[in-house]
Amino acid sequence: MRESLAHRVTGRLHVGLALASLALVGFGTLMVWSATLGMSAHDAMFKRHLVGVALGILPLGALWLVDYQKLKAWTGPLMTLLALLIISPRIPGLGATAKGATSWLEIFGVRLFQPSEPAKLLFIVVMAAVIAEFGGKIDEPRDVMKVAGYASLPVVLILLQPDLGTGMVFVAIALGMLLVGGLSGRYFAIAAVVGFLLVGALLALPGPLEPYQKDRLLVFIDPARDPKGAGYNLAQSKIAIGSGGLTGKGIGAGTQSNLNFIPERHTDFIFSVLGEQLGFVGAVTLLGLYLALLAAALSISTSARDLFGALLAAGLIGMWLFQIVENTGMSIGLMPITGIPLPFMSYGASAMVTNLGGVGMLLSVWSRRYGT
Amino acid sequence: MVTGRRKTAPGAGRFVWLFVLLAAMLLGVAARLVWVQTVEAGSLAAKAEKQRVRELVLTPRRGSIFDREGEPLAKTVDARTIYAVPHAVKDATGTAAVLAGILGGDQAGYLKQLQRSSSFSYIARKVDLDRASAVERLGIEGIGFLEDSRRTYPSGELACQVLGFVGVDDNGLSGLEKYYDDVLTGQPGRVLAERDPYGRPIPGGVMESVDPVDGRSITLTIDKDIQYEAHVELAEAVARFGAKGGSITVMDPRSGEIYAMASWPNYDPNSYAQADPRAFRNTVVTDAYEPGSTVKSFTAAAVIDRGLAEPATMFHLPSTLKVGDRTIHESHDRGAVTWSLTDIVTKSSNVGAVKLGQALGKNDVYDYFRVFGLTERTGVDYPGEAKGWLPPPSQWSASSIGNVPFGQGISMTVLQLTRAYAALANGGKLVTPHFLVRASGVTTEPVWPVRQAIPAATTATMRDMLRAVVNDGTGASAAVPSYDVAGKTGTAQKPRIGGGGYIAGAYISSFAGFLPAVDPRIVIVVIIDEPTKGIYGGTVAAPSFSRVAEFSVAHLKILPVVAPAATAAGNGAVSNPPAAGAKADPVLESSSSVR
Repeated sequence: MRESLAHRVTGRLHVGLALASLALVGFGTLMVWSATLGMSAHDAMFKRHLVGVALGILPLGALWLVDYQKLKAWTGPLMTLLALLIISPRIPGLGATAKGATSWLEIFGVRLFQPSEPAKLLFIVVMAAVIAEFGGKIDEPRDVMKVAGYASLPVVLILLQPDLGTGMVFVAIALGMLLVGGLSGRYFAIAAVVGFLLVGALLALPGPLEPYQKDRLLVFIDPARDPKGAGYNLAQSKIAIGSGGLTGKGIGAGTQSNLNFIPERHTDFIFSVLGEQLGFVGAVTLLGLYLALLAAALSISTSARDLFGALLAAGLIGMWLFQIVENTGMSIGLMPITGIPLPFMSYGASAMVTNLGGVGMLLSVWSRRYGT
Repeated sequence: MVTGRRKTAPGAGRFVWLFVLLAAMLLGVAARLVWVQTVEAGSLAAKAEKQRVRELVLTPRRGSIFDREGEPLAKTVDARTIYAVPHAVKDATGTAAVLAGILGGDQAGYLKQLQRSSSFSYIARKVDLDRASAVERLGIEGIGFLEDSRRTYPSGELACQVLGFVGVDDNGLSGLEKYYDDVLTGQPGRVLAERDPYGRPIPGGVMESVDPVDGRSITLTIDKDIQYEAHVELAEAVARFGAKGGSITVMDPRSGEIYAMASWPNYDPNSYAQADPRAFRNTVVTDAYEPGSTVKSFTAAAVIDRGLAEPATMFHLPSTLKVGDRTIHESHDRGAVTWSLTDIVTKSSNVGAVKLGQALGKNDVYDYFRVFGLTERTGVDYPGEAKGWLPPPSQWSASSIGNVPFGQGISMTVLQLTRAYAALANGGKLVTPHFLVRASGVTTEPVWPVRQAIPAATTATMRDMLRAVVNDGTGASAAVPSYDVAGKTGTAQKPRIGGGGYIAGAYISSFAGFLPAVDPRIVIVVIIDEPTKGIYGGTVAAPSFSRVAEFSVAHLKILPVVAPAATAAGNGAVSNPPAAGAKADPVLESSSSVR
């Protein structure tokens, strides 16, 4: 039976997801342009951002066209690639260090990308395949151990970089998928207790966390602890957002953001730029767009034709939700400061390509919801 | 088929949980935004403005200091301050070596500044333009320059204690730089401007700008040439007599204008940081000393003013005199003599001075010393003036009348003594010694208080007697060819610090005098501290007086004044005491009955 062209397109396209993604990419492009105003490399950076968006069309299209179910067969090689990606910056001659973490892949002195970004997508695929095996009910301790084993490998590797924030993103991805994948409630309770103890141990023991990481966590608890040091970022971010008020100071007119008071303003702290320049109205608009994105992903997850598809969507929800809440939360003192980007908004091609790839994966699950 | 597959999918409940979770989290963020962007918005906006808008103080240029003829003694020139942004300097060790090579100083010191963990570090402040541009030409990354200014003293050590010096922020720390700091400093300006977090101004961000008002220049009474002569003569005298230090003060007795004030030891105010701080003291103003015989002039003036004696009045003087528990000796032993009042002054008799003091009584001695300003500060425009020590007669001991009249057991500053001699020179007026002539831009000149202290007639008599000191007495070396000079020698033992007698062999030799004796235009006081080759004021200090006086009258074009006939006759009477001297003792007796 031949479908009409219009039906084929509309049937394969999730309109809500498409509109939310488009709006977010557009919004992000505007904010990157505005945040880099006044930087000497403004033009070059803005071009690189557009190149990132263009590059992201490729994985979006490819993942949309390919039947996501075929990914299941590649679990083994994908797991290997995932591990390789995560440890690649640690391989002599390949890694580059930025801000305390060795998180860039560099070949012959050319910075290519941050491997932890595409690794998030690979992790989602591998975990979806593993969790789908259990058919929506994970209750046996042996099964839990197996899932935890798969999940902890990349998390541990990431934490060794050390990149606490990205490690937490992987944990959030796993939690989102386990929720949909049928992990019994009591294991969530156990995970919560273990996680709590783990954070306590990380803070108390001298070894595992770098001093700057500890400072960030402690400053979150007591921002007045060190206003010129670790607390400076938070203080400046809050000043910028707060001084934006209801409607903001206007695009490119941020006295705090455009005068360099906010560190990392085009990457980690782009939400502060938005909060200052567009005010409460702009910030809530962005949250609304995120809600639309996540709701679209949720609707795709619920309409997936199999558990594997539903888990892929759940993983993306976990990834985005955590990054959104962590990034915006740290800008206003709700969360400790970590260096993770705000999806679709922060400057950085690696993240943009990964996020657009995620959209492609969702479209693939959606377009095949009735089977082929 | 489809439904069959859907059975493997999870139940709806899980999705509801996930939705509730994400909605709750986003709402949490939104709620926090409401708080930050409405409730806290006002205070955060204020914080934003406070850290963004900064005030930059614009330093005014410090005024110059000129001598009375407009020669610069202190001026401010362009300079540059070199700083570093330590983390931007790539090769700290190499840079430190290069800086030490150009700027001088310690390489390790520069390295320490280059390795400080701050975003700004001074390398060298107020560097002259040549060396600063030598550093700039190297183009070292992380090294920056600020426009600055620097205080220089073109004549180096000349008048160094009078001028003083300034600190790194151009604030006067000593001397006239300190006393007239407010005048010289001017009004700082300010720029209220938006700045980035590194404090750099943002183009177009100026909100308010007030230009600085440069400091006023001041013109001093100091005459650079006389100061130079005094400076060189003092240095020579200190060397010639192996002395510890000394001072020469030259003043106009009519106005109190100080032509020169030189102190030894010296320092170079251009590099005062390396100098011995003891050299900073302007001892003429800030240090009291025990004057010795130079105060006999005031004891004699008191006796004349009281009408107790005339220059020719004769006194019986034993070889020594016992007063209280003390025995008064002359500096050169002699037998009992009968000397006129003039002889007592010209031969500087201690016993004679005590006899005069006893004739006056302690109240009159104290009152006349007070009248001559020896108990008060002169009011000179110089910081840290001292005033010496002369207790009221109620606190005198039984032996005080045996030493105060010839300058022991009391102390004063050289400037107090200079002013008192100026009063003898100018007809009895106590002037206010001062340095300032005018400040630029101020039309009214300062008024310096003058008060009549003692009748002009008394001082005229004293001038004749003091002329005799130079013509026939201990001060012969103070003579200046073709000029009549009046003055008095002093040879004072130095008291032990903390009391308990005098230091053996330690003297202060002095000569205080003025010329031309008839109409004095210059008063000069020479002090030589602890000379080791000769001790007497007449041999150690008087020659310096003569040379500085000779130079000064020539430089100031002061003509010799021939003494009027009447005074000359009086002078002759002094030289040849008349038979009336036999009446001396009755006078003395009657004076004791008066008091």
